[in-house]
Amino acid sequence: MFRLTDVSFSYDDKKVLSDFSLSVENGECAALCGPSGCGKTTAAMILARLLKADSGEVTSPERISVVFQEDRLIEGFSVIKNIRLCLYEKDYAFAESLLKEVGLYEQRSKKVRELSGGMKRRVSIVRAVAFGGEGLILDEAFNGIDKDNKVICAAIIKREFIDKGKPVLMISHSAEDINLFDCKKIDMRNGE
Amino acid sequence: MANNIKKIIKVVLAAAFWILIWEAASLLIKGDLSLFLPSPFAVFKAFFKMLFKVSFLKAVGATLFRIFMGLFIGTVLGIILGICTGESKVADILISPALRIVRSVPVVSFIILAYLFISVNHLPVFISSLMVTPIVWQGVNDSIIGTDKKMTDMAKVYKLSKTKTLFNVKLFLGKDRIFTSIISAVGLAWKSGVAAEVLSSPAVSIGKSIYKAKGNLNFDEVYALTITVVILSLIFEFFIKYLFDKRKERQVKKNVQTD
Repeated sequence: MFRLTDVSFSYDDKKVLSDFSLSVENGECAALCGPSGCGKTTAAMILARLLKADSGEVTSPERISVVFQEDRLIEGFSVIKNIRLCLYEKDYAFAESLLKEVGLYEQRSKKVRELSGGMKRRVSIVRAVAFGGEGLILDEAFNGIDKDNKVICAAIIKREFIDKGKPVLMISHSAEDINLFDCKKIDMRNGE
Repeated sequence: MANNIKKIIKVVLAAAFWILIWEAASLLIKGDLSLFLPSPFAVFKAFFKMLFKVSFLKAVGATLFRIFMGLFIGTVLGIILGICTGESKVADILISPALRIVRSVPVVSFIILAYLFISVNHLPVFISSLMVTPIVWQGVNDSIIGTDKKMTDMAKVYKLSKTKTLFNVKLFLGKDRIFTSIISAVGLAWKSGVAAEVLSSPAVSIGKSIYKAKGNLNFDEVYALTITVVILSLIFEFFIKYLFDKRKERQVKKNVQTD
Protein backbone atom coordinates (compact mmCIF):
# COMPACT_ATOMS: atom_id res chain seq x y z
CA MET A 1 0.00 0.00 0.00
CA PHE A 2 0.96 3.65 -0.38
CA ARG A 3 0.53 5.81 2.69
CA LEU A 4 1.69 9.29 3.62
CA THR A 5 0.74 10.49 7.08
CA ASP A 6 1.18 14.16 7.99
CA VAL A 7 4.11 14.48 5.62
CA SER A 8 5.87 17.81 5.21
CA PHE A 9 8.51 18.64 2.66
CA SER A 10 10.38 21.80 1.65
CA TYR A 11 12.74 22.64 -1.18
CA ASP A 12 15.20 24.98 0.58
CA ASP A 13 12.85 27.59 2.08
CA LYS A 14 9.83 26.78 -0.05
CA LYS A 15 7.30 24.58 1.70
CA VAL A 16 5.80 22.16 -0.83
CA LEU A 17 3.94 19.70 1.39
CA SER A 18 2.47 20.60 4.74
CA ASP A 19 1.08 17.77 6.92
CA PHE A 20 -0.15 16.03 3.80
CA SER A 21 -1.76 12.60 4.07
CA LEU A 22 -2.91 10.07 1.52
CA SER A 23 -3.62 6.39 1.45
CA VAL A 24 -3.92 3.95 -1.44
CA GLU A 25 -4.84 0.44 -0.40
CA ASN A 26 -3.61 -2.72 -2.15
CA GLY A 27 -5.57 -3.34 -5.34
CA GLU A 28 -6.84 0.24 -5.32
CA CYS A 29 -6.25 3.04 -7.81
CA ALA A 30 -6.14 6.64 -6.64
CA ALA A 31 -5.83 9.77 -8.73
CA LEU A 32 -3.97 12.68 -7.18
CA CYS A 33 -5.47 15.84 -8.62
CA GLY A 34 -4.75 19.50 -8.20
CA PRO A 35 -3.31 22.54 -9.93
CA SER A 36 0.27 22.65 -11.24
CA GLY A 37 2.88 23.17 -8.56
CA CYS A 38 0.67 22.00 -5.69
CA GLY A 39 3.12 19.19 -4.79
CA LYS A 40 1.63 16.14 -6.54
CA THR A 41 4.89 14.94 -8.07
CA THR A 42 6.77 15.69 -4.83
CA ALA A 43 4.34 13.45 -2.92
CA ALA A 44 4.80 10.72 -5.52
CA MET A 45 8.59 11.01 -5.41
CA ILE A 46 8.51 10.69 -1.62
CA LEU A 47 6.54 7.46 -2.04
CA ALA A 48 9.10 6.29 -4.61
CA ARG A 49 11.86 7.03 -2.05
CA LEU A 50 13.53 9.52 -4.35
CA LEU A 51 12.87 12.35 -1.89
CA LYS A 52 13.01 12.19 1.89
CA ALA A 53 10.17 13.78 3.82
CA ASP A 54 11.13 16.40 6.42
CA SER A 55 8.57 14.94 8.81
CA GLY A 56 5.66 12.52 8.88
CA GLU A 57 5.31 8.82 8.14
CA VAL A 58 5.83 7.20 4.75
CA THR A 59 4.74 3.66 3.88
CA SER A 60 5.43 2.26 0.44
CA PRO A 61 6.72 -1.01 -1.03
CA GLU A 62 10.46 -1.52 -1.52
CA ARG A 63 10.08 -2.17 -5.27
CA ILE A 64 7.90 0.37 -7.04
CA SER A 65 7.39 0.84 -10.76
CA VAL A 66 7.28 4.48 -11.79
CA VAL A 67 6.26 6.08 -15.07
CA PHE A 68 7.88 9.48 -14.72
CA GLN A 69 6.50 12.74 -16.03
CA GLU A 70 9.32 12.69 -18.59
CA ASP A 71 10.21 9.50 -20.47
CA ARG A 72 13.59 9.06 -18.78
CA LEU A 73 14.70 6.62 -21.46
CA ILE A 74 18.22 6.42 -22.85
CA GLU A 75 17.75 7.93 -26.29
CA GLY A 76 20.81 6.19 -27.78
CA PHE A 77 19.61 2.74 -26.70
CA SER A 78 17.07 0.65 -28.57
CA VAL A 79 13.57 0.18 -27.17
CA ILE A 80 14.34 -3.36 -26.04
CA LYS A 81 17.69 -2.41 -24.50
CA ASN A 82 16.04 0.35 -22.48
CA ILE A 83 13.53 -2.10 -21.09
CA ARG A 84 15.94 -5.00 -20.54
CA LEU A 85 18.31 -2.71 -18.67
CA CYS A 86 15.81 -2.67 -15.79
CA LEU A 87 14.86 -6.35 -15.85
CA TYR A 88 16.16 -9.79 -14.93
CA GLU A 89 16.66 -12.14 -17.88
CA LYS A 90 13.64 -14.22 -16.82
CA ASP A 91 11.37 -11.22 -17.50
CA TYR A 92 12.59 -10.54 -21.06
CA ALA A 93 9.86 -12.67 -22.68
CA PHE A 94 7.19 -10.91 -20.62
CA ALA A 95 8.51 -7.52 -21.75
CA GLU A 96 8.35 -8.62 -25.38
CA SER A 97 4.76 -9.80 -24.97
CA LEU A 98 3.89 -6.40 -23.50
CA LEU A 99 5.56 -4.67 -26.45
CA LYS A 100 3.34 -6.75 -28.75
CA GLU A 101 0.26 -5.68 -26.79
CA VAL A 102 1.05 -1.99 -27.05
CA GLY A 103 1.98 -2.31 -30.73
CA LEU A 104 5.68 -1.60 -30.39
CA TYR A 105 7.14 -5.06 -31.03
CA GLU A 106 8.16 -4.15 -34.58
CA GLN A 107 9.93 -1.09 -33.24
CA ARG A 108 11.84 -2.94 -30.50
CA SER A 109 15.24 -2.59 -32.18
CA LYS A 110 14.79 1.06 -33.07
CA LYS A 111 16.65 3.67 -31.13
CA VAL A 112 14.37 5.51 -28.71
CA ARG A 113 15.34 8.83 -30.32
CA GLU A 114 13.64 7.64 -33.52
CA LEU A 115 10.27 7.18 -31.80
CA SER A 116 7.40 9.65 -31.50
CA GLY A 117 6.46 11.15 -28.13
CA GLY A 118 3.48 8.81 -27.72
CA MET A 119 5.60 5.76 -28.53
CA LYS A 120 8.18 6.79 -25.94
CA ARG A 121 5.43 7.07 -23.32
CA ARG A 122 4.28 3.55 -24.17
CA VAL A 123 7.86 2.25 -23.85
CA SER A 124 8.03 3.88 -20.38
CA ILE A 125 4.77 2.17 -19.42
CA VAL A 126 5.99 -1.23 -20.71
CA ARG A 127 9.23 -0.81 -18.73
CA ALA A 128 7.29 -0.02 -15.56
CA VAL A 129 4.91 -2.96 -15.99
CA ALA A 130 7.64 -5.45 -16.96
CA PHE A 131 9.69 -4.38 -13.95
CA GLY A 132 6.85 -5.75 -11.85
CA GLY A 133 6.99 -3.44 -8.85
CA GLU A 134 4.78 -4.03 -5.83
CA GLY A 135 3.05 -0.75 -6.61
CA LEU A 136 2.82 1.67 -9.52
CA ILE A 137 3.10 5.43 -9.75
CA LEU A 138 1.90 7.05 -12.96
CA ASP A 139 2.98 10.67 -13.27
CA GLU A 140 1.16 12.14 -16.28
CA ALA A 141 1.86 8.76 -17.88
CA PHE A 142 -0.69 9.01 -20.69
CA ASN A 143 0.32 12.40 -22.09
CA GLY A 144 0.73 12.20 -25.84
CA ILE A 145 -0.74 8.71 -26.22
CA ASP A 146 -3.69 8.32 -28.59
CA LYS A 147 -7.05 7.20 -27.23
CA ASP A 148 -6.91 3.57 -28.44
CA ASN A 149 -3.46 3.00 -27.03
CA LYS A 150 -4.47 4.67 -23.74
CA VAL A 151 -7.20 2.04 -23.39
CA ILE A 152 -4.74 -0.78 -24.16
CA CYS A 153 -2.17 0.56 -21.66
CA ALA A 154 -4.84 1.05 -18.98
CA ALA A 155 -6.04 -2.55 -19.46
CA ILE A 156 -2.49 -3.84 -19.02
CA ILE A 157 -2.02 -1.76 -15.87
CA LYS A 158 -5.33 -2.95 -14.46
CA ARG A 159 -4.46 -6.59 -15.19
CA GLU A 160 -0.87 -6.47 -13.90
CA PHE A 161 -1.33 -4.22 -10.87
CA ILE A 162 -4.87 -3.55 -9.68
CA ASP A 163 -6.19 -7.08 -10.30
CA LYS A 164 -3.09 -8.53 -8.63
CA GLY A 165 -3.78 -6.49 -5.49
CA LYS A 166 -1.10 -3.85 -6.01
CA PRO A 167 -1.71 -0.15 -5.36
CA VAL A 168 -1.67 2.36 -8.23
CA LEU A 169 -1.25 6.10 -7.70
CA MET A 170 -1.97 8.26 -10.69
CA ILE A 171 -1.18 11.91 -11.23
CA SER A 172 -3.03 13.57 -14.05
CA HIS A 173 -4.68 16.78 -15.12
CA SER A 174 -6.87 14.97 -17.60
CA ALA A 175 -10.31 13.72 -16.60
CA GLU A 176 -10.18 11.40 -19.63
CA ASP A 177 -7.04 9.71 -18.28
CA ILE A 178 -8.45 9.41 -14.76
CA ASN A 179 -11.61 7.83 -16.16
CA LEU A 180 -9.54 5.04 -17.72
CA PHE A 181 -9.52 3.49 -14.25
CA ASP A 182 -12.06 3.12 -11.50
CA CYS A 183 -10.16 5.64 -9.40
CA LYS A 184 -10.75 7.36 -6.12
CA LYS A 185 -9.86 11.05 -6.37
CA ILE A 186 -7.55 12.77 -3.91
CA ASP A 187 -7.73 16.55 -4.24
CA MET A 188 -4.62 18.46 -3.38
CA ARG A 189 -4.40 22.20 -2.79
CA ASN A 190 -1.12 23.93 -1.94
CA GLY A 191 0.48 20.79 -0.52
CA GLU A 192 -2.37 19.99 1.80
CA MET B 1 29.51 16.15 -52.15
CA ALA B 2 29.29 19.82 -53.07
CA ASN B 3 29.75 20.66 -49.39
CA ASN B 4 32.89 18.53 -49.23
CA ILE B 5 34.35 20.29 -52.27
CA LYS B 6 33.56 23.65 -50.70
CA LYS B 7 35.27 22.53 -47.51
CA ILE B 8 38.39 21.39 -49.39
CA ILE B 9 38.52 24.66 -51.35
CA LYS B 10 38.31 26.63 -48.10
CA VAL B 11 41.14 24.62 -46.52
CA VAL B 12 43.32 24.95 -49.64
CA LEU B 13 42.68 28.70 -49.83
CA ALA B 14 43.52 29.17 -46.15
CA ALA B 15 46.71 27.11 -46.54
CA ALA B 16 47.69 29.08 -49.66
CA PHE B 17 47.11 32.36 -47.78
CA TRP B 18 49.43 31.38 -44.92
CA ILE B 19 52.07 29.95 -47.26
CA LEU B 20 52.08 33.29 -49.11
CA ILE B 21 52.52 35.17 -45.81
CA TRP B 22 55.34 32.79 -44.91
CA GLU B 23 56.98 33.27 -48.33
CA ALA B 24 56.69 37.06 -48.00
CA ALA B 25 58.17 37.01 -44.49
CA SER B 26 61.09 34.81 -45.60
CA LEU B 27 61.79 37.24 -48.48
CA LEU B 28 61.66 40.25 -46.15
CA ILE B 29 64.13 38.84 -43.65
CA LYS B 30 67.64 39.50 -44.86
CA GLY B 31 71.10 38.54 -43.70
CA ASP B 32 71.93 35.92 -41.03
CA LEU B 33 68.40 35.96 -39.67
CA SER B 34 67.08 34.51 -42.96
CA LEU B 35 68.63 31.22 -41.80
CA PHE B 36 65.92 30.94 -39.14
CA LEU B 37 63.02 31.42 -41.53
CA PRO B 38 63.59 29.38 -44.69
CA SER B 39 61.15 29.74 -47.57
CA PRO B 40 58.22 27.30 -47.84
CA PHE B 41 59.83 25.86 -50.97
CA ALA B 42 63.07 25.06 -49.13
CA VAL B 43 61.12 23.43 -46.30
CA PHE B 44 58.98 21.31 -48.62
CA LYS B 45 62.14 20.31 -50.51
CA ALA B 46 63.73 19.21 -47.23
CA PHE B 47 60.52 17.40 -46.28
CA PHE B 48 60.36 15.36 -49.49
CA LYS B 49 64.09 14.64 -49.31
CA MET B 50 63.60 13.26 -45.79
CA LEU B 51 60.60 11.17 -46.77
CA PHE B 52 62.79 8.66 -48.61
CA LYS B 53 65.39 8.25 -45.88
CA VAL B 54 65.22 5.03 -43.85
CA SER B 55 66.50 6.82 -40.73
CA PHE B 56 63.60 9.31 -40.95
CA LEU B 57 61.01 6.56 -41.39
CA LYS B 58 62.50 4.69 -38.42
CA ALA B 59 62.32 7.87 -36.33
CA VAL B 60 58.69 8.40 -37.34
CA GLY B 61 57.84 4.79 -36.45
CA ALA B 62 59.53 5.00 -33.05
CA THR B 63 57.90 8.35 -32.20
CA LEU B 64 54.51 7.12 -33.38
CA PHE B 65 54.81 4.08 -31.12
CA ARG B 66 55.82 6.19 -28.11
CA ILE B 67 53.00 8.69 -28.58
CA PHE B 68 50.49 5.90 -29.14
CA MET B 69 51.61 4.20 -25.93
CA GLY B 70 51.48 7.51 -24.05
CA LEU B 71 48.00 8.25 -25.34
CA PHE B 72 46.79 4.72 -24.58
CA ILE B 73 48.19 4.62 -21.04
CA GLY B 74 46.98 8.18 -20.35
CA THR B 75 43.49 7.40 -21.64
CA VAL B 76 43.15 4.20 -19.61
CA LEU B 77 44.47 5.95 -16.48
CA GLY B 78 42.23 8.97 -17.09
CA ILE B 79 39.15 6.77 -17.43
CA ILE B 80 39.98 4.78 -14.27
CA LEU B 81 40.71 7.92 -12.25
CA GLY B 82 37.63 9.70 -13.65
CA ILE B 83 35.44 6.80 -12.54
CA CYS B 84 37.08 6.84 -9.09
CA THR B 85 36.62 10.59 -8.53
CA GLY B 86 33.18 10.67 -10.13
CA GLU B 87 31.89 7.83 -7.99
CA SER B 88 33.70 8.38 -4.68
CA LYS B 89 33.90 11.59 -2.70
CA VAL B 90 37.01 10.36 -0.85
CA ALA B 91 38.78 9.62 -4.15
CA ASP B 92 37.68 13.05 -5.41
CA ILE B 93 39.20 14.80 -2.38
CA LEU B 94 42.45 12.81 -2.69
CA ILE B 95 42.98 12.59 -6.45
CA SER B 96 41.34 15.63 -8.10
CA PRO B 97 43.70 18.30 -6.66
CA ALA B 98 46.75 16.27 -7.76
CA LEU B 99 45.41 15.99 -11.31
CA ARG B 100 44.57 19.71 -11.42
CA ILE B 101 48.17 20.46 -10.40
CA VAL B 102 49.54 18.07 -13.06
CA ARG B 103 47.40 19.87 -15.64
CA SER B 104 48.79 23.30 -14.79
CA VAL B 105 52.49 22.46 -14.20
CA PRO B 106 54.59 23.34 -17.31
CA VAL B 107 55.44 20.22 -19.25
CA VAL B 108 59.12 21.11 -19.36
CA SER B 109 59.33 20.95 -15.54
CA PHE B 110 58.03 17.38 -15.62
CA ILE B 111 60.44 16.46 -18.42
CA ILE B 112 63.44 17.75 -16.47
CA LEU B 113 62.35 16.05 -13.23
CA ALA B 114 61.37 12.75 -14.86
CA TYR B 115 64.64 12.74 -16.85
CA LEU B 116 66.43 11.99 -13.57
CA PHE B 117 64.43 8.81 -12.92
CA ILE B 118 63.20 7.44 -16.24
CA SER B 119 65.17 6.05 -19.18
CA VAL B 120 65.29 8.23 -22.29
CA ASN B 121 63.28 5.71 -24.30
CA HIS B 122 60.42 5.67 -21.80
CA LEU B 123 60.43 9.35 -20.92
CA PRO B 124 58.31 10.54 -23.92
CA VAL B 125 55.75 7.79 -23.17
CA PHE B 126 55.61 8.85 -19.53
CA ILE B 127 55.31 12.55 -20.35
CA SER B 128 52.59 12.19 -22.96
CA SER B 129 50.56 9.87 -20.73
CA LEU B 130 51.00 12.35 -17.88
CA MET B 131 49.61 15.15 -20.08
CA VAL B 132 46.74 13.04 -21.45
CA THR B 133 45.57 11.63 -18.10
CA PRO B 134 44.15 14.88 -16.60
CA ILE B 135 42.32 15.78 -19.83
CA VAL B 136 40.59 12.40 -20.10
CA TRP B 137 40.05 12.30 -16.32
CA GLN B 138 38.24 15.65 -16.52
CA GLY B 139 36.01 14.40 -19.34
CA VAL B 140 35.06 11.20 -17.51
CA ASN B 141 34.68 12.88 -14.11
CA ASP B 142 32.48 15.67 -15.53
CA SER B 143 30.36 13.14 -17.41
CA ILE B 144 29.72 11.15 -14.26
CA ILE B 145 29.00 14.02 -11.90
CA GLY B 146 27.07 15.90 -14.59
CA THR B 147 24.66 13.03 -15.29
CA ASP B 148 21.07 14.26 -15.34
CA LYS B 149 19.61 13.59 -11.88
CA LYS B 150 16.40 12.48 -13.53
CA MET B 151 18.28 9.59 -15.14
CA THR B 152 20.05 8.57 -11.93
CA ASP B 153 16.65 8.67 -10.17
CA MET B 154 15.31 6.36 -12.87
CA ALA B 155 18.26 4.01 -12.22
CA LYS B 156 17.50 4.12 -8.48
CA VAL B 157 13.79 3.34 -8.94
CA TYR B 158 14.51 0.44 -11.29
CA LYS B 159 17.19 -0.93 -8.94
CA LEU B 160 19.99 -0.79 -11.50
CA SER B 161 23.27 -2.11 -10.09
CA LYS B 162 26.11 0.34 -9.57
CA THR B 163 27.96 -1.12 -12.55
CA LYS B 164 24.92 -0.90 -14.83
CA THR B 165 24.25 2.67 -13.72
CA LEU B 166 27.88 3.62 -14.31
CA PHE B 167 28.32 2.06 -17.73
CA ASN B 168 24.82 2.20 -19.20
CA VAL B 169 23.65 5.50 -17.81
CA LYS B 170 26.47 7.78 -16.66
CA LEU B 171 29.27 6.85 -19.08
CA PHE B 172 26.93 6.14 -21.97
CA LEU B 173 25.16 9.50 -21.65
CA GLY B 174 28.53 11.25 -21.30
CA LYS B 175 30.30 9.34 -24.08
CA ASP B 176 30.44 12.30 -26.48
CA ARG B 177 32.13 14.43 -23.83
CA ILE B 178 34.60 11.61 -23.12
CA PHE B 179 35.41 11.09 -26.82
CA THR B 180 35.92 14.84 -27.23
CA SER B 181 38.35 14.87 -24.32
CA ILE B 182 40.32 11.97 -25.83
CA ILE B 183 40.46 13.67 -29.23
CA SER B 184 41.61 16.95 -27.69
CA ALA B 185 44.29 15.04 -25.76
CA VAL B 186 45.84 13.77 -29.00
CA GLY B 187 47.45 17.11 -29.87
CA LEU B 188 48.77 17.47 -26.35
CA ALA B 189 50.22 13.94 -26.41
CA TRP B 190 52.17 14.83 -29.56
CA LYS B 191 53.34 18.23 -28.31
CA SER B 192 54.52 16.95 -24.96
CA GLY B 193 55.90 13.65 -26.29
CA VAL B 194 58.02 15.31 -28.97
CA ALA B 195 59.18 17.98 -26.48
CA ALA B 196 60.31 15.14 -24.20
CA GLU B 197 62.12 13.53 -27.14
CA VAL B 198 63.90 16.80 -27.96
CA LEU B 199 65.12 17.19 -24.39
CA SER B 200 65.95 13.53 -23.69
CA SER B 201 67.04 12.56 -27.21
CA PRO B 202 66.27 8.85 -27.48
CA ALA B 203 68.49 7.23 -30.16
CA VAL B 204 65.73 6.90 -32.78
CA SER B 205 63.13 9.66 -32.61
CA ILE B 206 61.76 12.72 -34.38
CA GLY B 207 62.72 14.76 -31.31
CA LYS B 208 66.37 13.82 -31.64
CA SER B 209 66.28 14.60 -35.37
CA ILE B 210 64.90 18.08 -34.55
CA TYR B 211 67.60 18.58 -31.93
CA LYS B 212 70.34 17.48 -34.34
CA ALA B 213 69.00 19.62 -37.20
CA LYS B 214 68.90 22.65 -34.92
CA GLY B 215 72.50 21.93 -33.80
CA ASN B 216 73.59 21.82 -37.43
CA LEU B 217 71.70 25.08 -38.09
CA ASN B 218 69.66 23.15 -40.64
CA PHE B 219 66.40 25.01 -40.10
CA ASP B 220 64.84 23.72 -43.34
CA GLU B 221 64.87 20.32 -41.66
CA VAL B 222 63.64 21.69 -38.30
CA TYR B 223 60.58 23.13 -40.03
CA ALA B 224 60.11 19.98 -42.13
CA LEU B 225 60.23 17.80 -39.01
CA THR B 226 57.77 20.11 -37.26
CA ILE B 227 55.41 19.81 -40.21
CA THR B 228 55.83 16.03 -39.98
CA VAL B 229 54.73 16.13 -36.32
CA VAL B 230 51.71 18.28 -37.20
CA ILE B 231 50.70 15.94 -40.03
CA LEU B 232 51.13 12.85 -37.84
CA SER B 233 49.09 14.46 -35.07
CA LEU B 234 46.28 15.29 -37.51
CA ILE B 235 46.34 11.75 -38.97
CA PHE B 236 46.21 10.34 -35.44
CA GLU B 237 43.27 12.58 -34.55
CA PHE B 238 41.49 11.66 -37.78
CA PHE B 239 42.11 7.95 -37.14
CA ILE B 240 40.66 8.13 -33.62
CA LYS B 241 37.61 10.08 -34.88
CA TYR B 242 37.21 7.46 -37.61
CA LEU B 243 37.33 4.64 -35.03
CA PHE B 244 34.62 6.34 -32.95
CA ASP B 245 32.44 6.89 -36.03
CA LYS B 246 32.97 3.27 -37.12
CA ARG B 247 31.92 2.13 -33.65
CA LYS B 248 28.72 4.16 -33.96
CA GLU B 249 28.06 2.69 -37.42
CA ARG B 250 28.61 -0.87 -36.14
CA GLN B 251 26.07 -0.26 -33.40
CA VAL B 252 23.48 0.95 -35.91
CA LYS B 253 24.13 -2.14 -38.10
CA LYS B 254 23.81 -4.42 -35.05
CA ASN B 255 20.45 -2.87 -34.25
CA VAL B 256 19.22 -3.39 -37.81
CA GLN B 257 20.34 -7.05 -37.77
CA THR B 258 18.48 -7.84 -34.54
CA ASP B 259 15.33 -6.23 -35.90
